[in-house]
Amino acid sequence: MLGNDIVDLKFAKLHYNWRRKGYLNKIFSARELELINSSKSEDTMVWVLWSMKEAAYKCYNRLTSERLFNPQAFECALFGSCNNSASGVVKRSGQSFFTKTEISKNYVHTLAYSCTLMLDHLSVHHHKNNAEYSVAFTHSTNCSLQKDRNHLPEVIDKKTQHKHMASISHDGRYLCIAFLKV
Amino acid sequence: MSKEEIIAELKNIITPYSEETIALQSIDDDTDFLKDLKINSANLVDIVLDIEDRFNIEIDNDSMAKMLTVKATVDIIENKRQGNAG
Repeated sequence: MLGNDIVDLKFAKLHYNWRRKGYLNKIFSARELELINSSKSEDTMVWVLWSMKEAAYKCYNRLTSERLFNPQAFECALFGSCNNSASGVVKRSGQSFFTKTEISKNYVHTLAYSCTLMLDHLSVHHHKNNAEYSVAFTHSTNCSLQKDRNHLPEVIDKKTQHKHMASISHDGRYLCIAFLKV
Repeated sequence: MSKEEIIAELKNIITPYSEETIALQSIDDDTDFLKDLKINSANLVDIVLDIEDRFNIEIDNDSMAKMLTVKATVDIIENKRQGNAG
């Protein structure tokens, strides 16, 4: 199962006030708050962990069709992190979703997958967050985007007609499409 | 506070976080915060905190989990307010 999530850091600064009293406590566990407090950049770590939860939620939603807003139920752990990347796992009801996060000056983007090996087989495409993204995606990949029978995104290769599970995330200026190549 | 008053107050809280003006105008029980109002989940946290402040209630994680539609949210607000009064 696949999920992705992007956070536009500039947009987040303007629209998501995580410093608001009570905000972080609604989202993060005591252990996760400790990761944030001990981080060199609290701002970045908040969005790394948030995007891990959101990407894992998309995986879990694909598995169960369960629709709930319960970020605390998705527990993050980091295997490692540096200035421009992080890897970890998000656990929910005994299920593990492995994550790989790209950290840049402008955005944080997390890929989540139920099997850690598959993380290296995902194709990731960044676009501007506007109505033309689907056309731009087709132009650059020769694949088109559509919805599967559960109304979830999938990619169809125009040449081979092969279908691939896909995940789309957008925030502020950015939109990111991830799909399984194999 | 009647159900209509709660919905009106809820609409005031939600408005700054949604750009879907038409959906906001026709807000009703079935309105979905994410699908219809396109509210970002990071702002759902703000809405939960605003509701706590405005209605003087505390929303636990299990209640917050269900707060994706107007109906579910109004039910939770009514329940918590009754709890406070009792």
